[in-house]
Amino acid sequence: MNSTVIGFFVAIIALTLVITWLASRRNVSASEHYVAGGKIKGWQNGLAIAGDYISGATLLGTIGGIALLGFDGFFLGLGSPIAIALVMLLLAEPLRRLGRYTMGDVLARRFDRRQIRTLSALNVITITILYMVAQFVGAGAITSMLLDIPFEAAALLVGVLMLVYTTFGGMLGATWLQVLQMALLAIAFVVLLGLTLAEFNFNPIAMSAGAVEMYGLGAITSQSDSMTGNISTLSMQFGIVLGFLAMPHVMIRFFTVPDTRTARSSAVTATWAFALFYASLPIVAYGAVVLVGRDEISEGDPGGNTAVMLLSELVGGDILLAFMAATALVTIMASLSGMCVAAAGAFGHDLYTNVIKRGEANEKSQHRAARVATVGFALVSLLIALAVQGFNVGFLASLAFAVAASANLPVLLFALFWRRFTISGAVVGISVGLVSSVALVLMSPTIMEENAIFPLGNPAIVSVPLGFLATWLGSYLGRPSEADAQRAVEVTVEAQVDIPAIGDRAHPSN
Amino acid sequence: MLIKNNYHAAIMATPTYRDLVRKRGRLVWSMSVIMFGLLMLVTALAVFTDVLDGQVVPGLNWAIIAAYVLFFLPVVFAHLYLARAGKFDELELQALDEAEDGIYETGAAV
Repeated sequence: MNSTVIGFFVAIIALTLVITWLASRRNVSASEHYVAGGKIKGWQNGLAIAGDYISGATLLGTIGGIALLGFDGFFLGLGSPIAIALVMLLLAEPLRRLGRYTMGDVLARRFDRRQIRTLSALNVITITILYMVAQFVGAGAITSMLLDIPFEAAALLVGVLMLVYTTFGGMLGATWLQVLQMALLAIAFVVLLGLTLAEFNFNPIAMSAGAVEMYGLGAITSQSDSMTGNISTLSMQFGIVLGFLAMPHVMIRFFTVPDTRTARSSAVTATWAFALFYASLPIVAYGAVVLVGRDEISEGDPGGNTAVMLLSELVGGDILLAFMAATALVTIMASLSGMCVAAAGAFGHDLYTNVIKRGEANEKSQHRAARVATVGFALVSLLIALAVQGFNVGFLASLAFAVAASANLPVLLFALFWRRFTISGAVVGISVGLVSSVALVLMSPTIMEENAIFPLGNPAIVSVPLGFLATWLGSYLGRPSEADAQRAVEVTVEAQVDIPAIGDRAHPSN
Repeated sequence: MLIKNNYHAAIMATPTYRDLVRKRGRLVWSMSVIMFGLLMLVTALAVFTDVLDGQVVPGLNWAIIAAYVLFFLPVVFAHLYLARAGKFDELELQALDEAEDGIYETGAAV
């Protein structure tokens, strides 16, 4: 293993542990653990939203995808800046007004029933487990490649570090880690882009022109194969963008800021971060294609995950390679940490505090539940990841997005904006969205190969409309009680307007 | 509770609240539909047809140009929304004022 890489890696781990120690001194309550006490600044939250989403797989996989697959690689990130802008326009402010720690809080505000909180928590846990297992397997593989150690050792290393970061640092620790991740990414990319562009007289189009010259037009176009493959690509895009809106670790970020204005400004920062990050990926990818070559990239890893590392080494030597590798490792751990804290909220806050303890748990036991849930979640995901490492689990990540888009999103949007929405609509909507997206994947070529009953590799284009339809139709199965009708008025008004606590606002005529 | 319930209903009944919901709704939903629709359109054109394959200059085709539009359009829309958001904040406060005035006049609460 390269000693410069080890040196950078040890230094970065030391820095992250110091950050965690500093954050742990403020992690003294359930609110601090889940949402950093709602005191995160707008710019920090914006970078953390980007840090949550930009995982190791996103960073290395998208660059590798563009380098090896041409425009088909673009699809991995094409909708991401749009997804965060949709969150800003449709959800950031209502979520900040209505939620405390979880999506379950928003639904419980609309329907005062334990049943809906339980269902919502189980749904969130399903989504997060699917996503975290996929991320863990990816993180293990990438860490193993970067540090040249066996998969099990790499997964264990990532798992233990994540456990330390999240259990002690909570949401504040995860947030600071993600801000660090984005700062390192910015530095690494500015240097890498500068050195790579210098080889092409600072003309990025010369890179893709070089790629076309070497590998033909396929380097910049989509290599459409079959009709079902093309519809699956469309379905994946549909599911990833809409799923992003309802992913638990994205939603929770809007509970970490003090008010709606900060929620809004943080989404703008995140939109910029996403746009700049994704716009720089093709430049890095085509630089790698021309300077490193496709053969050498796929020799390093058939998925192209090594493309950015090979390019870094070529243009910046050992130092840039080591810095980029350390940045990738922080990226892996920071995004996993954010997800873990969000999942712990569904378990500790929704299930333990509000369902099992019926909201009667004292502050100390809530904080303990938060930490136990965090440890439990990290361990369960790590164990599943170790068990399934031999299988191709890449589809689990897009399944997680499909479940979020099919089961979470319809219920969330209707709860916020539709007064006629009823508890039966919520139950039917979550159930149909969850079952249809999972069942369609089980019947797809991904699982059943040539015996597939459902032809598409991604279910979203069918399961999302089904989820919306079921939520809408289900709402007509029952009549809202008088209390629910009253809550409907309160929630739909509070989704639109900041309602001050009674007594907080002096009457204008006074 | 009665006070709070009346308060929400009173806000909902104000003309400014209805104006706010209509204006903000029109803006955010139309921007959302445009962005999401463009994304689906570009994806569909790229995978089903070759209309985006033509090169504008060597190495740069319409698909890559469309991708960069999709990367930065959200930034433009985010700032457009931010520029209008202050006005919506004012409407929110105005709706609260009108609701409170209404409640005072009817003597229903507070």
